[in-house]
This record gives sequence, C-alpha cells and structure tokens, in this order.
Amino acid sequence: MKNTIKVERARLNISQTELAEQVGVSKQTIHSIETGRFVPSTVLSLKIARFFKAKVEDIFELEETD
Amino acid sequence: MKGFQKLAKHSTKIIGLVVLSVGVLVSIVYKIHPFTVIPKLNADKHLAACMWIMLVGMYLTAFSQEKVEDERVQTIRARALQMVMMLMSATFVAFSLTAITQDMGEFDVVLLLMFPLIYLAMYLAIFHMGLYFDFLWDYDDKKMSFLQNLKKNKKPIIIFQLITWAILILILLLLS
Repeated sequence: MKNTIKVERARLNISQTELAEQVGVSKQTIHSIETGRFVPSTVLSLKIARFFKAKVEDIFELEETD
Repeated sequence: MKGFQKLAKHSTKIIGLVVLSVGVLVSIVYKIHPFTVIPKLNADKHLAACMWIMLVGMYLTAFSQEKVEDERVQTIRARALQMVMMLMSATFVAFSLTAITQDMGEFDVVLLLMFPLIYLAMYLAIFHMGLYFDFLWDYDDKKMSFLQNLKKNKKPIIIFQLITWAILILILLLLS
C-alpha cells in the first residue's frame, strides 16, 4: 500500500515528529508508514487523514501487489 | 482481548536493564572468582542465583512498555513472541522425546534456568531488532540486489553482530 504522507507533510511544512505527536504514535512509526514498511490500522489511517483534512483514499492507495 | 495488555510502565524497563546488568556482572565475576554469599548453597546453586538475577532483569525488560507503545510496537512484539513461542515449543518437543527415550538422571538447576534465559534473550533480541534496526535500515533500494543493500547498511549489521556475539559469549561462559 502506498501513501502520500510525505507529500502532505511537505505541503504543510511539518516534521515526522510533529505529525507523530498529533496522531499519538512514535516518529519511527510515521517513518515506517511513509517508506511502506508498516501498514497502519484503520483507526490510525483515519487519524492521519483527518489531520491532513483529506479522505483516507486520498492519502492511502492500494498497489497491485496488495 | 481489549484491555488484556498488562505490560509494566516504561520506567520498569530501565529498572530491568539495571538488574540485568548487575546479574551479568555478578555471573561473570562468579565464573572468574567463585565466591560464597549463603554458606548452605553449593557452587551450582550460587551460579543459579546469579543467573536468576539476570532472569529477573530480562523479564522486567521484556514485559514493560516502550516510551511510545503504539500499534507498530505491538505488532513487532507480537511477531517476536510468536517466533520465540514456535522455537520454544519445538525445543520442548525435542527435549521431551529425549526424556522419553533416554534416562535423564537428576535435573540440573543451572540447565533449568538456561531455558527461560535463552528464550527471553531471543525475544529481546528479535523485538529490539524489529523496533530499531528496521528504522535504521534506511537504504532499501528495490532495484539493487540484497547483498548490495547489505553493503549500504553497515551500522545495523555491526550492531546486530555485536549483540549476537555478546549473547553467544555470555551463554558459552555460563555453560563452561
């Protein structure tokens, strides 16, 4: 599953640490999600999408291998 | 299962690491210069007591929360526990077959302590590798071969080697 968190962060000019604090996870978790190593739960995906004021499907997208 | 997670606070991990360090130091000192604290205990039981301190330290470290105990940490913890549980069950299946087919004699107290000690060490190694090395594994180019990627990730490999060798040397030292 790919995502546009890095792009959204750059758009709002916020760091991984700031996003992590806002959604209640660690900086490492945000890094792992951005690089595609960790797939977040529905709750965390919704929290991230809500933070960027976007829909979940605008942030996260299924890949052919999923 | 909601609310089932009963891990100790993160501060317990610090206490656990201190107890573990004390246990390792006392065990190594005992192996080099055996000493007597409680006269009624024999040498084997003294060594077992030193290992027991290590065991308590490992237990506290293994079952306390991380600074931020989020879903990624819980996933890694679950995977590490699953892996160790499989290895532990396999060992006991093999061990019980040996017990059925051969006369085991008197069971050694040091050997009894080695089982949880090794499993907790394995769990801690797998859990912390998943927790920190995956994050350090920054250079992960899909276009390059596995070996080429390994060459670009020297730091996690060195740390992994150091931990593995430290655990192996400690186990060999205690078994000798």
